[in-house]
Amino acid sequence: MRLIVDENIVTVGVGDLKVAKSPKTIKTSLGSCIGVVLYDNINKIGGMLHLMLPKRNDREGKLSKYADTGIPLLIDLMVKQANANKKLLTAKIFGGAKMFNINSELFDIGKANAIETKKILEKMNISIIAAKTGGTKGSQISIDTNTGIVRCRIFGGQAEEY
Amino acid sequence: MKKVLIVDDASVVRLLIKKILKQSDDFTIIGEATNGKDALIKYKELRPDVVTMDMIMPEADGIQATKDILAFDEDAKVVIISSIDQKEMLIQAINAGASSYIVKPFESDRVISTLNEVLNN
Amino acid sequence: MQITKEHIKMLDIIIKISIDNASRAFSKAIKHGALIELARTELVDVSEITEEMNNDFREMAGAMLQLNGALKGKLLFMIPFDGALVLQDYYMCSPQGTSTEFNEYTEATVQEIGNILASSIGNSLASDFGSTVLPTPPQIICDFAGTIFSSLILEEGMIQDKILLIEAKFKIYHSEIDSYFFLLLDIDTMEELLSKLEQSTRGT
Repeated sequence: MRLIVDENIVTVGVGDLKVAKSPKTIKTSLGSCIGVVLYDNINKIGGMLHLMLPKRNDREGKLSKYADTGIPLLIDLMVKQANANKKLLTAKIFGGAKMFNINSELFDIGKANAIETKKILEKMNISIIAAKTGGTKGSQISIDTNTGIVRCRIFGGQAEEY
Repeated sequence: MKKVLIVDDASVVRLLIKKILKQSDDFTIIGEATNGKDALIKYKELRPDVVTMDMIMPEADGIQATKDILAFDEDAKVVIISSIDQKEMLIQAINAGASSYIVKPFESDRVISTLNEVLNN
Repeated sequence: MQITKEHIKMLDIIIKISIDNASRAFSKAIKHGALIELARTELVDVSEITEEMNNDFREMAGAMLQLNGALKGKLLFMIPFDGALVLQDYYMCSPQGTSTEFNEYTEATVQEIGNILASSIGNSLASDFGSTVLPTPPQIICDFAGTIFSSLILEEGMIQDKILLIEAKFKIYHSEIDSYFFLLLDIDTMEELLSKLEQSTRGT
């Protein structure tokens, strides 16, 4: 694929998370996965989690794949490694679309991901100050850690700022 | 002019076959179908001289459609045009009653010569 | 069954031959050279491979389908929108530049090329193993590259952190158009395949 080599751009893969400080940009492409963006606006630290499933249950996969283990992990990393202030963290969430599934299964994993994400953020006392989830198309999001603004572009549409 | 019914789920394949057949004065395209089920309906309605039939399609595949058409009209001429080139499927096509088999991607000449051959037999 | 480096090597050889056949079918379909720039079989980390894909913000058309029979798997053929228009003109033997708007015929071209590539791979593998490997009718997805790719690997990625991915890149001769091809083999049928290969290599 075409690689954009820019030291200030950090890309997040599926089931992964990244933390970065100003002036970096963190970005990802979403489908049914949810992109959770956390931001400490005083210390200008951003974190992005690209989660695939709502709950880990008995699975052995890495923690960042799931909402229930990934969100606490992201917060932990932002606080302990990047020195973010947990009390300042706010959340913006994106993705969770009902995507084409080659097996034609009707369950809407995107919706389930969104529900669990909101639940976990509430449990962790982090307010969701913006949300753009659902639909049937993919989205590209990027956070400018200098401002905390997230640009979200849904396929077929214009980019919007949150 | 011989009447042709073109069956393929990809519109661009139907368009290409039409383009090829228009180059010859021997053929006129009388209809199109996008799946095996529709192919039988159109066959009964239009009574073409020959059918070009894709194999892998939604609803009903080309093998089933060929069987159904031959069950309706034992003199029907169906030429399978498919990207599948596997012994088992060729045998199934013959057993279903297909008159010939063209493997995709095809050459224009091959389509015309095969249809002529099938119609002249 | 543990997938070893030897297994991957064996699979890589068989797959490279079928990709070779597929590129010939591709070239024949568009009546123009389609060169293989890359073909590899690798055990990849889901997050790492999707990070790479998510770096590509282009809009693409993808044909996704399954392979069924002796070998099961999922297949994706993906090309940028402008590349699909080039492909459409080649496929229809129209002068380059004839197709200017992405429409149902462009989608159908991507669908048909996906079908031809998948069938070619299936034909090759069926011949290698004396059985049947058939593709399903392709589904078209138009979306961002990363999103389309995630749809391909999502189910496997939910269960495993690493997946065995076969990847090929085709370049259309005399153009800047790259197209991408991915094959994800079902683990159970792949284990059966690898056992058969091991038995036949022990026998020689």
